[in-house]
Amino acid sequence: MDEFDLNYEELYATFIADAKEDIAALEAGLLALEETPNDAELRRELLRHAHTLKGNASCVGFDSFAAFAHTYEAQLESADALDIPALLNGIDTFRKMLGVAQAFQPAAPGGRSENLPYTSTLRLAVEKLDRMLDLAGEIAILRGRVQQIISARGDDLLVEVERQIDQLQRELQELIMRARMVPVGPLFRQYARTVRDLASAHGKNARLVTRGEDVELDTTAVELLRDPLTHMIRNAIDHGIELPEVRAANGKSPIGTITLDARHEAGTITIRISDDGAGLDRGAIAARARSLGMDDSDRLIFEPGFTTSSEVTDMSGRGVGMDVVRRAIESLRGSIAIETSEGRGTTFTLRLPLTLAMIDGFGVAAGDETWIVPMEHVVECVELPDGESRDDTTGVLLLRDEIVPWVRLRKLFEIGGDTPSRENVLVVQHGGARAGFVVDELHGAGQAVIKPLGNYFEAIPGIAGSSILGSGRVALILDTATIVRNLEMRGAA
Amino acid sequence: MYLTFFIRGEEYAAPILRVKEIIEYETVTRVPSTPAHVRGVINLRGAVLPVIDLAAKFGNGETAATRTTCIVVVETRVDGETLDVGLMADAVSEVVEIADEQIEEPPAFGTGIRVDFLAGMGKLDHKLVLVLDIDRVLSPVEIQQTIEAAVLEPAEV
Repeated sequence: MDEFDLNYEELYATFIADAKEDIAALEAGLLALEETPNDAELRRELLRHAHTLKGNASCVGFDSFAAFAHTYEAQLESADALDIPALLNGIDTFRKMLGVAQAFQPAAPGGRSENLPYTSTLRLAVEKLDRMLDLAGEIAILRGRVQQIISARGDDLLVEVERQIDQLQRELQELIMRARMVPVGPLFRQYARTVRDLASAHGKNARLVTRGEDVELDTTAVELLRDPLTHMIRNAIDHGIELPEVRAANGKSPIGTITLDARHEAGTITIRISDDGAGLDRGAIAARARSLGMDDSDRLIFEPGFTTSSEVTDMSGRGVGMDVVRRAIESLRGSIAIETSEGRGTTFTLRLPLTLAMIDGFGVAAGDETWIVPMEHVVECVELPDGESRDDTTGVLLLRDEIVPWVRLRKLFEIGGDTPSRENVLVVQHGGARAGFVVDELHGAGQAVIKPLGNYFEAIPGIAGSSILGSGRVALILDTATIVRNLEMRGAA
Repeated sequence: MYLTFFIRGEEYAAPILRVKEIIEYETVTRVPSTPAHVRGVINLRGAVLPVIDLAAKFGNGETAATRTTCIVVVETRVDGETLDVGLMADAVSEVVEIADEQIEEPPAFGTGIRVDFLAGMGKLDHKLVLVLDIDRVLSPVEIQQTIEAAVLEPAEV
């Protein structure tokens, strides 16, 4: 395994720490399931934990553990009514196996072998961090009110104290945000084993090279990237890397290389997944596109159900995959691009925001309501020309020779009240197309802490989340891409 | 112990153990694609809280906010998870003891609301109160159906 230049000890320690958490979560879930046996969501969660255990174990080559996790998963999946006592016995078996594993863990250089490498860090539930951020945000809002009172009184001493509190508060908020960031190294390293094993299962040779392991990413993003990265790596091995003799014949090293590279670029995190394989099969994509009646483009591979494989392998070819990847990346407010060169390989470039907790937004208002539009989509603001109807929900305007369709948020969201005589248009861009959002007022750009709308509502189309304004009121964050897409669908119907 | 409050002149009761706090009514942020009884969301110390207008849910039209309007924050269980939800009330009445034997099955009609929303009718010395089944009356199923319908059948533009 030396050729992979990996720190297996560290990988192993991560596995054991993660496995302990998954086992504990499984156990707690089983106990909860005894109370509510029909909770489908809970069962899915149990399955996820068992699946993670299996995957992680096979990553570190702990095959007996993986095999047991596999049968465990099957038990969770098959029966209608779960045999909870038997499953709880299984939990004990997991723990015993893990105990044995820990005892045989590769020795650390200092000779400390019986325990995990210990550093002065602790594991913290992300919810706790979120709550801290909530409270910091609340303090900021209350401080706004205090500031108003103080400035009304004109007490210089108080103003100075307030200024210092302000600074400390900002620092605190910044620290909490930074605490959510974790290095991508452990995530990347998990794939080393995947690459090797999958390649050899297909009679290929491949190795993983990782770069930028210290680059930090929001912890939620790391979790949500796990599956998309797995998909892309599987694809790279299945479709990209050629058989050793083919590679040799083309003057390439018989061992294929898959590279995971993370770096900071222009206020975003960029992750590249590249292989030095054959590149996308353009002919197959074009043929498939024609048979589906779609336009030919490399981006087609991101469409649902798109596959060029005539046969389904255990790895890929089912046509699920790249569209799932694209959606996962979009849900992280990121984007995905593809670059491919025949005979030289394929590179996927993921661009992700630095943090998921904050958003650069543009505030707009109609009536009593304020909304936040993600800044990345905002192109410009113009006044709605006189003579445009004041009652319609949608319309078009001419913007420097370009016809731009618009939607009036007041009508779309049924705010009621009278449309003012002057209105503004916030122009956004998605893909190549522009669209306008007609509002009463433009409040300008600012940073906003993102809050989920809560579990009471399911995902509401067109709403990406919420944020709390300086006034203490809640403002909804608009998912302009979905709003525009829905309007286009209605228009087409 | 129960907290009682008025909605459209009718007195309702909620188990006090489910009531987290009572706050003054403030302007609520509307949430699109939700049914009329979802008044919207408010900020409760940094958490986003849904506010439900039971008058609208019971088919009596939306509640107009007045000086005594308040939001009763209650705990409800949805899919095994405890969530906080705000209930709009025209006014809060009192905290009373209602013994189990004072609570009777609601009659099949005449209460003006669906029987399964009620845990029973509380017989007090001089009045009747409608004891709410918090989990049933606040079940988000109907809301989720409306949201899903909004996706499938967009309104006319």
